[in-house]
Amino acid sequence: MKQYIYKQVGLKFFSAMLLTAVLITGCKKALDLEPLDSFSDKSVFSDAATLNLFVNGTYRYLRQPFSAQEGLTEGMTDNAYSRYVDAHQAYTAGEIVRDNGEGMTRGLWSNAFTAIRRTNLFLEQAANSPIDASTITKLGADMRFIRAFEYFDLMKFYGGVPIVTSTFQLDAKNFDVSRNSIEEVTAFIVKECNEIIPVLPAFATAEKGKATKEAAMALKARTLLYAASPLFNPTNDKSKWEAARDANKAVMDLPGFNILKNGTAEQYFNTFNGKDQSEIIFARYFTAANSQSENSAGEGANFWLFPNSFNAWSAVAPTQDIIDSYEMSNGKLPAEAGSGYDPQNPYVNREPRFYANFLFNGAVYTDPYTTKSTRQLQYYRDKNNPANASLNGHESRGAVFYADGASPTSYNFKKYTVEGLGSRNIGSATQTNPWIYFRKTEFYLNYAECEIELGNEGPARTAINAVRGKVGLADITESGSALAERYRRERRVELVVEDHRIHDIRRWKIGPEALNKPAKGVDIYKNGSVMEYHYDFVANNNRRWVDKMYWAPIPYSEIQRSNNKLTQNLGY
Amino acid sequence: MYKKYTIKRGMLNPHIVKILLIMRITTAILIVAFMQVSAAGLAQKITLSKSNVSLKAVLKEIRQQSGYNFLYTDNILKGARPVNVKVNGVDIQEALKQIFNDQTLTYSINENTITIHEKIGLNSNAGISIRREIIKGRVLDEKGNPIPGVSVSVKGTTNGTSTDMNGNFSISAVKGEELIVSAIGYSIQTITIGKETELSIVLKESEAKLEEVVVVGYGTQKKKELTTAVSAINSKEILQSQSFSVSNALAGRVPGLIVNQRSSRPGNDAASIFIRGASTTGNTAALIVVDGVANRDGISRIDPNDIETISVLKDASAAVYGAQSANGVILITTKRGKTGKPTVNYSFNHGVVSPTRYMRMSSAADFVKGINDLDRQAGRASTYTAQQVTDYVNGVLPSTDWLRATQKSNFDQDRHNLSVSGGTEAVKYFLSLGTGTQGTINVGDKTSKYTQYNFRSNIDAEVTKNFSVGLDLAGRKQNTNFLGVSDGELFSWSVLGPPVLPATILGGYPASGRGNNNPLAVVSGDSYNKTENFLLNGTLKAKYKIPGVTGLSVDGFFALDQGQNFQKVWQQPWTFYVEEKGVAVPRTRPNPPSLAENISKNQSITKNVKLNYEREFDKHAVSAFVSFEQNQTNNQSVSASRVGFVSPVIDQLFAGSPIKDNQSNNGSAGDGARQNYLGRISYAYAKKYLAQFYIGVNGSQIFPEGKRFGNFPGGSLGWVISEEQFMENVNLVNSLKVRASYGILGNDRVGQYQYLNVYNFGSGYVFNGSDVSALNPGVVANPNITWEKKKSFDIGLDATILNNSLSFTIDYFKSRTSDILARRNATVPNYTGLTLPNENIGIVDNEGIDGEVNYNKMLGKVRFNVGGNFTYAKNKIVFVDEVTPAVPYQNSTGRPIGTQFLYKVKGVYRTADDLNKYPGLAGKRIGDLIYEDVSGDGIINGDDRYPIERNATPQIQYGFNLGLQYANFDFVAQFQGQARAVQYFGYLFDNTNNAPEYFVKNAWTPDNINAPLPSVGRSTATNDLFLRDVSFLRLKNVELGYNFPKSLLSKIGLQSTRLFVNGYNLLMFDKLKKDGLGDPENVDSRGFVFPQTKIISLGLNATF
Repeated sequence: MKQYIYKQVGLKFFSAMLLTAVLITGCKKALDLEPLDSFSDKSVFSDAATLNLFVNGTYRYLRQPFSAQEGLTEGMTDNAYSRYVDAHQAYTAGEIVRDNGEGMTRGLWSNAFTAIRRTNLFLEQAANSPIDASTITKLGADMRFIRAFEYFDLMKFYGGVPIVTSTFQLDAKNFDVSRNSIEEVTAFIVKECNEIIPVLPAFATAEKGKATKEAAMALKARTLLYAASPLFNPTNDKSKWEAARDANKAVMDLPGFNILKNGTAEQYFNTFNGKDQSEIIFARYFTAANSQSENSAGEGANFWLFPNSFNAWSAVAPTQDIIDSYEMSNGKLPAEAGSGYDPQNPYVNREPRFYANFLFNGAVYTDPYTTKSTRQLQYYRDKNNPANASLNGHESRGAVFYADGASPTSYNFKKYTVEGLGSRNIGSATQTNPWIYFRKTEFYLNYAECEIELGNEGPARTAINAVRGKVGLADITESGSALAERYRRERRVELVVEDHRIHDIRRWKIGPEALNKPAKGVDIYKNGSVMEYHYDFVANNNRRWVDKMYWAPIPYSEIQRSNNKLTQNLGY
Repeated sequence: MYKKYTIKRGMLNPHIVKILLIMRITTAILIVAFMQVSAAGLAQKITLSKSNVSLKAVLKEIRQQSGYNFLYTDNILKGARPVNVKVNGVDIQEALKQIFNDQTLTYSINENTITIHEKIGLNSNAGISIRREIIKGRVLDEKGNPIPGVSVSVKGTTNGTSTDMNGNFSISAVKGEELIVSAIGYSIQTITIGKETELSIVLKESEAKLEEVVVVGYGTQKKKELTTAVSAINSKEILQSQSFSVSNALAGRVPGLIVNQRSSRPGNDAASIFIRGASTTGNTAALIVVDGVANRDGISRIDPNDIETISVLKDASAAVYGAQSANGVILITTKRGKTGKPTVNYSFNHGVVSPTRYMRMSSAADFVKGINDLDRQAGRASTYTAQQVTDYVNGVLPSTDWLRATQKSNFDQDRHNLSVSGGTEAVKYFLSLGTGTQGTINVGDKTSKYTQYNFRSNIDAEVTKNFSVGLDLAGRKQNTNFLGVSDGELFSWSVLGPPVLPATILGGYPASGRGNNNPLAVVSGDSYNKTENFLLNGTLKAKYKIPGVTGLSVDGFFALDQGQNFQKVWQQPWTFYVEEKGVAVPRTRPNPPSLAENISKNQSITKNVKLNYEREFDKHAVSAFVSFEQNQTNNQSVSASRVGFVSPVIDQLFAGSPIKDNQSNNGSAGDGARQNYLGRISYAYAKKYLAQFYIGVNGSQIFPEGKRFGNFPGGSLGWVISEEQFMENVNLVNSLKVRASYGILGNDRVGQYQYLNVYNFGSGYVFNGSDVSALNPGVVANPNITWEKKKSFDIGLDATILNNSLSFTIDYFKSRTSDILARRNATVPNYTGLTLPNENIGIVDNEGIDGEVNYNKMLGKVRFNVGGNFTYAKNKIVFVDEVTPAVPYQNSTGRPIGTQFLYKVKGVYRTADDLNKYPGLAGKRIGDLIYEDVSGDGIINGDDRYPIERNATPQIQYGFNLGLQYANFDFVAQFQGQARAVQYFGYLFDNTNNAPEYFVKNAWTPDNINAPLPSVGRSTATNDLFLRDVSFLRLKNVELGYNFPKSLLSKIGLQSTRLFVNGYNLLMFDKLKKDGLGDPENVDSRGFVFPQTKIISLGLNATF
C-alpha cells in the first residue's frame, strides 16, 4: 500500500517535472541575440562600402572651431578677448598648470590619439581584407593623411609626442610609451606625407573635402615651417628652414588655386563666407545635417562672433591691438607719422581687409535680427545719459536689447560670418561656409618667413607683396629686422581668426610682448552728433605671460597612466 | 452639524454607543460570554419538566440553572420546534441531548458558552440543503473601537475579506464553517457560523505583528517565520504620502533604505533609492518587481491606491530574482479581491503644492556692487556708477527677484481613485480606475501639465477544486506636457536672472530677460514638449494542485508588458518686448519653428513555470519549489522632424518645410533576454528552527556564451528562541528570534554586446557638399565580460516584549561585491585611443546596520504608537582601477565610493603679506582662497587635495513616526532625516548670471576685508569651504483624519467616510536655510531644477 502511494507520488512528480522541462528546453536559444543597431568587425573590413563609412568617420576627428566658443583660439591671443572661456582666460592669465591644459587645447590629446588608433586599426585590419588592394591603398592614404594631420596638431601644442603606429590590445600588460622628439615626429609626418602624396587624388579630380595631394603637400609644408621655427628649432638649424622653404614654395606654386589681385574688401571677405573658394586647398565643409554647431541648435560662426543686437553675445571680441595693426589705405599704420589717422574718426581710410574682418562703430552690415536690414552699427552710448538705454546704440554695452551680450571691446569679428543670416541657423538656412585648414595665401607668407630666416629678402618681399596685392596695397620695401617685423604684422593681419596667431606667438616666442598687457577696447560716446572715442578702455587687465606656456602641459593623468614613462613639458 | 459629532472628553463615543445599540437590537447576540468568566455553578445538575414550550424559554431556564451562556440569534430559534423535556438532576450534556433531539438545530459547547446553530450536512437526505449566507459583522477592540483592515476568512477556503474603516465586514459562509478573524497586533479568533448573520466580534490585543504575512520573493511568509531581512510597508502608510510618486512614500519609513527625492517636477518626481546604500561602483538601481514580474513598471507612477504592500528584500534572499538582484529588490503587490459583497471605494485628494523654499538670490544692490567688484578685479572701469549703486541700494532703481517673478507660490494637484472589489468563492475581483493631475510652477504657463490615467483589474477564478487561474491587467497613460525648453534651461534662467533686469516692462509685457531668455516670455510661446507614455501590463496565471499528492502543485504565468512612448516637441519662437521710446516693441527669439516627433515602443515577455511542494508532517514543515523563468525584451523607435513652419497653427509634420535639408528621420531597435532557473527549499522544525536554501542559475544575454550563466546560491537560518521551553517563564519577552542569511547575488546591468567589436553609425561628414554616413568603432571587445557578484551576509534579531507592545528588529549586514563591471579609464592611457569596455575589475565592501522599533499602547481612549527606523551604510572600495597617486591620501582604494578630493581652505588672502606667506595656485591675488599645503611641499597643486569621505548620498538615514487614534480622529506625523551627506555649492556670477546672496554678500572686497568667502566670481579650485553639510530633518508627512459616524452615513448609503488633511514636507531643519541656499535634498545645488515642493492636501475616502 505504502509503496503504491510512493509510486503514485513519483509518477505525478515525474510528469510535473517533465512538463517543466519541456517548457524550459523550448527557450534555450533565447539568449543568442545579435546587435540590431551596429555592424561587426568582419562586415566593416570586408566590404568596401562600409569601410568607406569607417574612413568618413575618421575625417570627423579633423577639428573645426565653430562647434563651441572654446574652438576659437583667437581668445588666447592679443587679437581678441573671450569673456566666457575659462581655459582661454587661464592661458592669458598665465594660469595653465599640469591639470588644466586640456581646456586650452580643447581636449586635443585624446581626440588626436583616438583618430590615430583608428588609422592604425584600419591599417592592421585592411592587411587581411578581401577588398581589392587599390581601394585599400586609396582609403589607407586618406587615413594616413588624417593621422599625420593629428600628429601635427599634437606636435604644435605639446612638442614631441609618442609615435604610435599599431593598436594597443586590451589585455596588454602595460601601455607605457615614451615621447618621441620633435624631429622624429616631424620626420614621421613628412615621411607619411611623402608616401601618400603619390596615392592621393589631385584636388582637381577629388571630392571637395577629401584629402588630396595638395592637402598633403600643404600639411607637410606647414609642419616643416613649424619645425624650423625658434620654439621648435632652438639651435636655429638652417637646414630646417631650407626644407620648410622648399615645401612651402611647392605649395605656393601649385596651380589651380587663385589668390585675389587688387580685390575689394567684399571680394576678400568672400573667401571666408563661402562665396569664393578659389584659394582653398583643404577645408571642412558643412551642411544642414553636418553643421558648424555639430548639434541641432544652429549655433555656428555667426553665433560666436556676432554682437548682442544680432541676438548673439560677442563671445570672442577683437582687441584694440589688432584693430590698430591694420594699416591705413596709404599703407601706413595708424600710429605712424603721416598716416592721416584721426583717433576721433578712426575707421575711415583703412586698408580693405579691415573692413572685411571687423564690425565697428559705423560699419554697415545686415542686422538679421533687430531691423532685418542693412544699417550702421552703433557701438556708442549717450555721452550725457549713458544709463538711458533708448539713447544708446544697439551694439553698445548700454543697449536696449541684451546689453550684456554687447562686445566688451566695441568691436566684433566679421571674418567667417555670413551676412544676412542670424545667429542660430538650422535646416535649409544652416550656415555652411567652410572652415579653411589650408588656403594658398598662407603659403606665400610661410615661404616669405623661410626666406627671411635664410636671408633671402627679395623673394620674401615678393611673396609678402603678393599677399598685399590681393587687396591692392602698396609693396613693402623693408629689410633686416624691419622686414621680419613687417612680415609678422602682415601675417597677423592676413590670418586673423584662422587659428594661427596662438601658434605664431608660441613658435616665434613672442609671449611677453603679445600677452603681458591688458586686452583693451574702445569706449565710444555720442555727444550730440559727435562721436567721442576713449582708448583707455580695458576689457581685461588680468593678462600675464609665463614662459612655460609656450608648450601645453601633457595631461598629468596621462603621465601617471604611463607609469611616468611620458615626461612632462618644462615648468609643469 | 459639526458640533453634533464633537466628542466630549470622558464620554464613550456616541457613534459607538449607537452602533452597539443597533447591534444588540438586530442580532441579539449574547456576547456576555466574551465579557464574563464565571466558573461557579457550571457543575450543577439540570432539572426540567416542560412540554410544548419554546426552545428559547427552555434555554433561558437552563442558563439560570447552570450558569452556561447561550449564543444564538432570534432568527435561528424561529424555526425551532416546541420542546418536550423531562429530566431530573442530569448533567447539561444529557439535558441538551434531549432538548435538541428532534430539532433541526444543534449546539456546541465551548467552555461555558453554548452556541446554537443549524445542523449541516448531517441530514442532506432529509432535504436540508446547505445554504450560503452573507454574514455581516463588526470587529471591535477591547475598548469598543472599530478595527479597520481586519482579515476575515472562512477556514479551509480561499474565501476572505477585510474590514472597512469602521470595522465592518461581510462574507459569505455556510453555517458551521469557521470564520478566522485576524489582524496585526491582535490574537486570532475563530468563530463558528451559526444561524446568526450579524456578528459583533471583539479582538484581544496580542502578539504584535507576528502574525503579519510578508510578501517575499516568489511567495509570502509569516513575519515570525522570516529568516531573511525583509521590510514592508502597507497601503495605509503608502497613502500617507501625498507625493505623486510612490517612491517618496518610502522615505524615512523602511529601515535599510536610503531614499532621496531629488526633483519635484510633475511627472518626474521619483526618489532615488539605495537599498542599504551603494555596494558597487556600477549600477546601483534596485530591481522593481510588480506582482511577481520584474521591470514591468517602476515604483514611481503606479497608483498608490492600487498597492497592497511594498516589500523590500535587503539581503541575499533577493538573489531569487537573479540577473539584476544585487542591489536588492522592491516587491510591489497590488490589491486583489476578497470574497464578499462588492465594496466600492472612492478616494480623492486635492493638494496645494509650493516650493519648500526659494533660494535667496542677490538683490540688485548686492548684484551691482558685485559686478563693480568684478570690474575692479579685471582692472576696468566700473559698470555701474556710484549713483546707480546708491539708487539700487536705496531702492530708487528696482530690483527683480526672478525666482518669485517667474515661479508661482503654489499650484494644484488632484488625484481620484475609484475601485470595486469583492467576489464569490469562484471569482474574485479588484477593479480600479485612477486619475491624477499636477499643474505647473511657471508663472503664466498654460502648457505644462502632468496627467495620468490608470486602471487595474485583478481577477482570480477557481475553475475546479484544483485548478485556478487569474488574469491581471493594468494600464496607464501619462501625459507629460512641458514647455519647449528644458527644465535645466528654464530654471537656470530664473535662478541666474540679473536682478537689475526687469521681468516685465510697461505694465506687464515680458521683458527680454537674461540673454533674451525670460521665462515669462518662454511660457507665452506656443512651444511644447509633450510626452505620452502608455503602459500595459498583462499577466495570465494558473495554478494546478496535483491531485493525489498533498501539497504538490504547479503554477506559472505569462506576462506581457507593452510600453509605448510618443514624444512631440514643437518649437516656436517666443516673444518678448523691448522698450523703445516708451513703447513695448515685440521681439522674437529667431529660432525657426520646428517639430520633432519620436515614437518608441518596448515589449517585455516573461514566462514562468514553477513546481511547488508544501506540507507539514508533525513538527516538520517543508516547502519547496523549482522554477524556470525567461524574459525577452525588444524595443523599437522611429523619429522624424521638420524645420520651418509657415504658420504656428498646424503642428503636424506635413505642414513643415518641403525642403530636404529641413527634414530628418531616424529609427533604431534592440532586444535582450534573460533566463533564471531556480530552486528553493524551506524547512521548519516545531516552528522553532527555521532554514531556507536556494540556488539560482541565471543567464543573461549581455554576456558571451560560456560567460552567460552564473550560479547564485544562498540560504538562511532562524532560531525562534521564544519557542524554546526555557523561555516559557520569561514573561517579559513575547517573541524572540535570531536569523542569519548568506548568499551570492548577481548584477548584469551594463551595455550589451561588449564582448563583440561593433561599429555604430555616428555623425557624418561632408564631401562635395553632400552628407556621407560614418561608422565609428564601439568599445574594444571584452570577450571575458561576465557577472558582477555580491556576497551578502546578514544577521538579524526580531523581538517583541512588554506584552507585545514593543517590537523591534535590528540587522547587521556586510557584503562584498567583486568582479564589478567598470572601465579601466583611470589606468589605460588616452594615447592608446581605446574606447574601453566594462571589465570585471572592482571590489567594494559595504556594511552597516538597520533596524526599527515600534511601540503600541492604549492610553485611556487614545491608541498611540511611536516608531522609528534607522539605516547606516558605509561602503569601502577594496579595489578600483586607479593610478598610484603622487600622495598616499589620494587613493580611492580604502575609501567610500564617491569620496571627493578637495582643497582644504585655510582662509582668504587678506593682505599682501598673506600673499607672501602662503603658497597658492597660479595667479593668486588678494581676495583668493588660501589653500592648505597638505602635501607639505611648499607649493599648492593637485596633490594638496585631501579626501572627504562623503557625498550627496547620505550614509545615515532615519525616520520616526507618531500615530494617535482617538474616537473618530486619527493623527500621524512622520519625520525623515539624514546625516553624513555633503553637496558642493558652486555658483556663477557675472553681468549675466546672478548668484545667491550668500556668495556675493560674504565675498572678499576691499570694503569687506574680513569676509569668509573669496572675491566674487573668482574661479576657485573645488574646496571644502563650498562643500556643505546637507544633513536635515524634515516633517515628511503629517495627517489628521476624521471618520464620519456611521449613523449619519448609513442614511445616505455610505459605509464609511474619512476626511483628512495632510501635509508633505511641511517643516525642515537643516544647515543651508540660514544662508538662503536651496533645499538640501535638491540634486542640483545651483537650483537649475524644479524646486523641492511641499504639499498641503485635503482628501476624502468613501466606501459604499
